[in-house]
Amino acid sequence: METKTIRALFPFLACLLFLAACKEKIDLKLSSSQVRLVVDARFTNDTTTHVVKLSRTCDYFDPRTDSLGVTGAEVYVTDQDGTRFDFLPLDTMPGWYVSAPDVYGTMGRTYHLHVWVDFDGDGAREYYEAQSPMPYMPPIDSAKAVYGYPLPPFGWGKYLGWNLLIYAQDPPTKEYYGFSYAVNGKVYEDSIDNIFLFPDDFSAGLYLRGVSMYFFPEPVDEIRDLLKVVVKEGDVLTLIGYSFTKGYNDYIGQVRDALSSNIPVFSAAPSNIRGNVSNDAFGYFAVYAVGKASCLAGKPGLKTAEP
Amino acid sequence: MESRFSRFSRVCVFSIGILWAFQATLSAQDVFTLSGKIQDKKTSQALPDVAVWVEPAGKGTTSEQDGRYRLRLAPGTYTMKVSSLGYGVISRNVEIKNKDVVENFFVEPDAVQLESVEIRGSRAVQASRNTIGMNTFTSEMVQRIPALLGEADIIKAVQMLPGVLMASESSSGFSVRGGGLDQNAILLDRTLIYNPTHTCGFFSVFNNDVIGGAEVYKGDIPIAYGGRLSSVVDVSMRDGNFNDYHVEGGVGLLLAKLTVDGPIWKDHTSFLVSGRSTYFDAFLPLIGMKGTKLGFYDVNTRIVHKFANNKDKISLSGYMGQDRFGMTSDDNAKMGLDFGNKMLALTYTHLFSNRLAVNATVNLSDYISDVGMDADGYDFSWKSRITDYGGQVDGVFTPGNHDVRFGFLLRYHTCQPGELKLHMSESMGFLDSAHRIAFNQDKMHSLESALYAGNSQTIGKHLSIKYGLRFSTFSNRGRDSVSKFDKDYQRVERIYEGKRNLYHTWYGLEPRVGVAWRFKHDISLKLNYTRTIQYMQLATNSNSGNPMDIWFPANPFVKPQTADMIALGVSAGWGKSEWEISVEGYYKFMHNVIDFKDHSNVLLNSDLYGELRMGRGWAYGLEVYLQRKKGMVYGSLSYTWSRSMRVIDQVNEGEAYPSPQDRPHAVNLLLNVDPHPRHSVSFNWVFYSGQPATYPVGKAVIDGNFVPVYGKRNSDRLEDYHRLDVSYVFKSKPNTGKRFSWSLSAGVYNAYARKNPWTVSFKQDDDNPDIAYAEKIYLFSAVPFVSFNFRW
Repeated sequence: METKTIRALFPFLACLLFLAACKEKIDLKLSSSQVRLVVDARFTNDTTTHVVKLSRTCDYFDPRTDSLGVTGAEVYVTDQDGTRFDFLPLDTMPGWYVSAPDVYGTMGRTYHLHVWVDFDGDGAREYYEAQSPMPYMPPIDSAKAVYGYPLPPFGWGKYLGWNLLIYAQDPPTKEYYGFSYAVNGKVYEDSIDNIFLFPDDFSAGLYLRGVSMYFFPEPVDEIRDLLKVVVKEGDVLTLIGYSFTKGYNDYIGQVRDALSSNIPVFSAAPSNIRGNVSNDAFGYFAVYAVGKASCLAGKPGLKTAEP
Repeated sequence: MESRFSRFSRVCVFSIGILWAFQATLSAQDVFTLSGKIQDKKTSQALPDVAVWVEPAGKGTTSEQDGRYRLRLAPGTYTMKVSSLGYGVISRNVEIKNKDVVENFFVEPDAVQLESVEIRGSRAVQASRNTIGMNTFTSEMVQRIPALLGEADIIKAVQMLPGVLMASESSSGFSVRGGGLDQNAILLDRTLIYNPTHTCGFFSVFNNDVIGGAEVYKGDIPIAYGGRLSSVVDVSMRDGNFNDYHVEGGVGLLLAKLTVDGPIWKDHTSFLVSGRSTYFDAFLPLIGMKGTKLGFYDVNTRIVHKFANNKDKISLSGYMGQDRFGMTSDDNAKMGLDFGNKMLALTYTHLFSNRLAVNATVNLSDYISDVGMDADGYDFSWKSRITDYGGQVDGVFTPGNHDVRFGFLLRYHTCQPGELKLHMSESMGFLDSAHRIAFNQDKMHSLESALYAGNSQTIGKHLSIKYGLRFSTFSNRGRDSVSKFDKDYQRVERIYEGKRNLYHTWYGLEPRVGVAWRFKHDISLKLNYTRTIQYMQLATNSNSGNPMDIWFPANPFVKPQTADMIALGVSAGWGKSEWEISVEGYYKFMHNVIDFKDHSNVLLNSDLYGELRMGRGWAYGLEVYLQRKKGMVYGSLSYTWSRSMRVIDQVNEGEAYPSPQDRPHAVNLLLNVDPHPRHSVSFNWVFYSGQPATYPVGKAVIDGNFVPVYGKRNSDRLEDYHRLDVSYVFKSKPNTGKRFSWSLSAGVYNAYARKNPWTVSFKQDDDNPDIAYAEKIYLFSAVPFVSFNFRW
């Protein structure tokens, strides 16, 4: 049983508890460590160009983060039958390796990432590998945009806008879902720090009949600067669902813990994130399935009740 | 532990037999018992920790919690001097011929400076006690220490002792001699309090207005206590007044309290009721936090009845406290955390003779933590709970030249690590009907017991020894499910145990031995060895703990923690008997120490045991404590040098690392200045080495985020911690004969506004995402306080 719901309360409780807490930037001299390969690889069932990003770690305060890409690597993915998908370097983005645009994975199959690169500069190539199955993603039957006030369980506040609802059958088995969305084809909130994690502790076996997954408030002055995207009548909203492995779901959680403030009352001792790539590389080879459903943001006739 | 039992027990039994035989030859001479009871003359309350000194024998003792004292003396004529801080000195001649003698004392409160004999008596008594690292506190002593928001707190006083470290800024959690935060037995009237804190540690559950006294043991733990590795803080509520009614109370900036006590049946039965409540909440809307709950209340009660034969006493103590955190959103959704302790203790004391007294206690302790949310269309609650039902019989027998302590204890634990309920109604819009989900982790039942006996004796004028043995057991009881894990901590099997089935038992021996040699000029040298076993542990993976942490028992997979500590101490006094100094060194080795794996999940985890990692720890240190107990300027200064290390499987790659409580240097200075009977000023200065921390040694950039790469655990330190607190007390005129008295306190916590780091976080600049920086979070700058207290 996951505990994300309760853990989500920690920041709130911490805020309440430490009303008097103050922050101040300080100068610290940090130690250095051995440079490690960082692998950020994602492989899905979408027919699209898949990307493997290779970079190196650096000192924490080193600002030169645009020169961390690792070039000269041989990167490919094989499936359980030995079929090979090559990833070629992208000249415009050092350290990025991309597949052909017609490559896709299949749910239920296992994929294996291979990386050969002379990372330590000794003239010999080192080998890094990782493998992961692609979990099952149930189809999203439809999505619906409803204008009004925010709907529970994820909508809060007093502003008017569009609720983006999902209609889908969640199978009784345990899944680790994630969600993001696109507005007129542009994807938002799909990065590791803000993708919406939705383990199905409370919905396994249920039909999700219009659960509001996102709320897009109209841009009134009070909140205009806080909005990531402004939705207007007639925009195409796409709900994108992901089915992650437990390992990747945990990895995302670990990354988020590492990115959040360290609060002594609620935070464990800092520790390194555990990925699935061999040879002491940092990062994860994420294999997951994707499902999508789109709808139009309808006319702003009031549809949901005032809180 | 089981395999070592037989050989170890034979050694212990043999050793005790030798010691008994040895002392029997020495005690053949004629000695008799001088005993009695010391009470407050006005209130008839029994007075603990009163010094009793007998000249020219040069012997002394202090009264127990029930006011009784005992001494063994040869026939002769003696002068007894009875004294305690805040009371006058009584001198009385006594003659011991050929039988035991009983001398009772009624002492009067005395605001006048005490005579030096009191100090001499106390110090000699302290030296004659064969205990290392033991301190006592009274309510008055605690009151003199400046505290956050002016609320005197016994735990804050404990944290000023050498070898005791505050867990984090203003926390009531503490570590004793390198031990963990859950290794301290916090007792209220002999009842375990599982979370002795309010508001996540800023206040403790102990209301100073109802405290009669407290004994703190930092390692040389008497055999009557057990169940925790590092320390015992045994707090006793005071009896209500047996003759007159009294009301006392106080109002501070954020907290108010009121205590009423008096007789129910004059001279026989008294009551005491006390309550405290914060009113933080009332001010929160002023800073824009409408609908926010934040604060606590607690209530203490005690009824005592003394039987006419003056040999029997029965008391009933109760405590209930509740904390509240919560908020209501604009759309009326409520969320919050409530937690609190409850305790009830019924104690019967019977004096069989002047040589034998027995206390019998039955008690209940209950701690509940409850997180809840109630929103339109759905609500959920998560609750954890631990309940103890206990009983203890504790006897003191003083045959010949001995002070024998014996007894047994039973404690039945029920832990509910997590109970989650979720209710979603049709009004959410996507369900055909209401939907309920419940997830209950198995309750864990266990029975803890202990049987103990020990003796303290003096041999000649200079030597005193003590030795005792505690045999403790811990049994897990069904209905329960027990998981078995492989070496990689993956569950390989889950076994279901039937109801009422005691399916596994741990047991162990806890020897406690000590020897003390008293030199001339009140110099004494003490050496002590203590073994302790802890069967209940706290599941927390944070450095300072939080109210949702859960307790869990040892079981077939989790071995009980054990600690072996050896301590050596020397104490001395000089000057006009005002000054005392003690130096103590210790080495402690801890076995089966528990930590959690990296990124562990403690809450609602039905495989919690699979998240545990076990290892060993060790701690050592040197403590220097200088104290002046009287004079216009008095107080204490302590310095501690210590280290505390851990080696835990799969943590820090199996290498040793400093424990979170490893703070090599600690200084505590408490200075009280009483220039006038109505004015007093107190200063409290604290210095700790910075808390161990783990800083990043690199970063990986993922989706534009700087993900830290860490080096060795706790290889860095936060800035050093230091703070000065100042308080000033203005009191009503003393000795006016009026019932009504008052005091006005004002002060500043952290007077020079030191920005002590509570934590350091590493961030990415929002405006320039290529830049990272370190950010210190500190809780307090200077915090002023004012409080008004009265007594009628």
